Amino acid sequence: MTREEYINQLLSSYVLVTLLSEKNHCRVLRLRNKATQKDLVLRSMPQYLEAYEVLCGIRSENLPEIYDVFPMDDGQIVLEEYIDGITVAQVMESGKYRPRGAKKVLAGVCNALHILHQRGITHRDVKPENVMVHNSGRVVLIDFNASRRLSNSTKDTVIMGTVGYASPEQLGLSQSDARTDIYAAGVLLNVMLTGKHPAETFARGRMGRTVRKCTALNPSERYQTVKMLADRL
Amino acid sequence: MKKCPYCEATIQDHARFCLYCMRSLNEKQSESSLQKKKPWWVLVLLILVIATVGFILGRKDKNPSAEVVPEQTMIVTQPTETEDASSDAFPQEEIDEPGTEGTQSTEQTHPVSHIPPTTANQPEPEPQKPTTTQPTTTQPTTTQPATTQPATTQPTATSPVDTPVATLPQETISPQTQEPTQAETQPVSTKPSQPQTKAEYTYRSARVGDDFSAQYSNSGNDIVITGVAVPSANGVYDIPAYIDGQKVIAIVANAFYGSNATTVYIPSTVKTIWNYAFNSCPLQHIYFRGTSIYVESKAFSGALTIHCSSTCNDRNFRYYKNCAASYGATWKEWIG
Amino acid sequence: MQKDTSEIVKELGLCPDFQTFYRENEDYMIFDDLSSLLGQLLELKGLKKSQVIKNAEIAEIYGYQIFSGVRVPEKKKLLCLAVGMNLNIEETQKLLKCAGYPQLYVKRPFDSVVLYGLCKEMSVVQINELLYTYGLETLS
Repeated sequence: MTREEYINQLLSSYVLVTLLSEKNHCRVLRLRNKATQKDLVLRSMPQYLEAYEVLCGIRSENLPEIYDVFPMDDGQIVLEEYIDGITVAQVMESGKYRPRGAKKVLAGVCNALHILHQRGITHRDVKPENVMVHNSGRVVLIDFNASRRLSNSTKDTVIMGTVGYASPEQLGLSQSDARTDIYAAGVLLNVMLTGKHPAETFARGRMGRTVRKCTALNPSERYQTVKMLADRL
Repeated sequence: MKKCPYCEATIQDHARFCLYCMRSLNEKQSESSLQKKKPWWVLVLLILVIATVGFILGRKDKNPSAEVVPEQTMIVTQPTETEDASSDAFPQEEIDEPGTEGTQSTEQTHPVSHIPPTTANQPEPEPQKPTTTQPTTTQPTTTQPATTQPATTQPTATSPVDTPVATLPQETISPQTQEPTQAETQPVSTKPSQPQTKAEYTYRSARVGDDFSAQYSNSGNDIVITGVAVPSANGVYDIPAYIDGQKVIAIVANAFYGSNATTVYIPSTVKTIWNYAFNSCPLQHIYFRGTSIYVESKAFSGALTIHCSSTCNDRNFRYYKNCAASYGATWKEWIG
Repeated sequence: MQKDTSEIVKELGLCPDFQTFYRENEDYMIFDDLSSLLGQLLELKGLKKSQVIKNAEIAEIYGYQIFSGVRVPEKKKLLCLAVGMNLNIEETQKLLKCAGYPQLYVKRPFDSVVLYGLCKEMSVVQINELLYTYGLETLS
């Protein structure tokens, strides 16, 4: 069965609420179950990503619950929880974060990363657009399309990430691992507090020092685990 | 294909989730969050507080009020605390209060309800009794509005503790509301501002010998009439075009308030007559010597009938709402 | 309170200065502030914000921010609100204009679907299904 066929089949018992995004063959739909009137998100992607499979059984406050993963002829379909809220990027549109709020958001992100890293997965695309805040205050890290399983290879085969949030090793210099995510988390923290990338301005005070440690060029100079970063907050 | 144990629908063999009833088929593991430092810190503080209060109670005589108050404060938790995740990671908004946004006031008593936070993951009881030893380091910041606001909107930051979330709506609109609160009842229309005064001044009119008090306008050496120094006997006021060589350019508010003016001659040099200039004057005739002038709508407020000379081309005189009876009179006169 | 635009334009020429003109015609001015217009429409239709936001299928907090003027929504989100409020075509065009967006042009496929949906009082979900079927971008 192809992905399209599956979607069409699903649309008999689900109603399409909206097409959340569609970029390079990855389609994300928001569907509503006709019977229960609850929403879920359907991700259709052309390649197989382990991250979703691994997260399938996990229920966490900071990660969207992955309901099911279906491999298809031409890719993979993932059904996940719909997070009703706005992204940190959208929140930032109306102002910068105060330290307390930024800490809360980052704590949520760290928790999410901790769960991923525990299972040997790096997110590799931590940025404001991928952190959602639910109405209730729940912070959720979404979009694992860039994630990879930690492996023993010396270099990543694909160079990817988002400009500004990609650590040096992600851009091909060396193997990306958990500390890559810590780099991006540091950049995220800085952007939340100052609105700017640390290359332009560092946040002030204690937060600034934390950001510096997260974004050190040499991975061994950064926080080595997400837990250490979380404790620092 | 197998059957869902809950809804009996036919689903795929390896499915872990029933698409029809939206229930998970396996046992899911819930992940606990990373160890946080705060909770135990709070607990220690709480114990300290209880100990202190107990100590005080032991020392004092049995005082009913002292007993009651600590208990009350002990059980106070602050659901509306801004330390709550919901308001910090996220601005809070009121739900459906028609008209509350319309008021746009920066008053602190803005009635606002907030979205009930469901995941208050950091219960931090903050006893409000001043005698407790709770280090209120968090106090100043709890009154801060939600985090997503830029730090510039200071005036509304000092809201009372019990309405921390209430500050947000005001915060968000305060950049716009700064003006109304400062400018009070200033209408939106761009009125020229009242001239500032520099010095007192009296002068004898050329015609009927009355005196006017006049002051300098803020735009140089021109004069504005601010009042009547010597009232005229017959209620006829001839405003001079020049006082001591200085041009008279305007008549300010309340200049003739309470005077007995019944007939006024306005020189051609006067270009503006401000609101309430002739407030409550028993005006009957106004003669405009000039041909162009700006008269504000309430300049003659309180006057019953005004006859306007036809040399004045302020056609909008007919719009002056407060010259109620004069509408007909001036209109006719105007045309004629 | 309505006054014919042409009448107001005539006065523009008659009045000796703008202050007088504005003072007189203040009451007939149109709001250029999106949140006030939204408030006005809500009142007109007797709707509640929460219901509108729910119907519009947009995030709650985002919706409240739009109503309070904190943020100006994207065009598509604004259209969601229009659908959520059951506005007619005229009102929707007015809303778009107020926010500074180009109005819906029936010759554009996306716009025509939305206009159809507004006409037939379809919900956001229904309009999105239609858009999806035609391979167009959806609202929200």
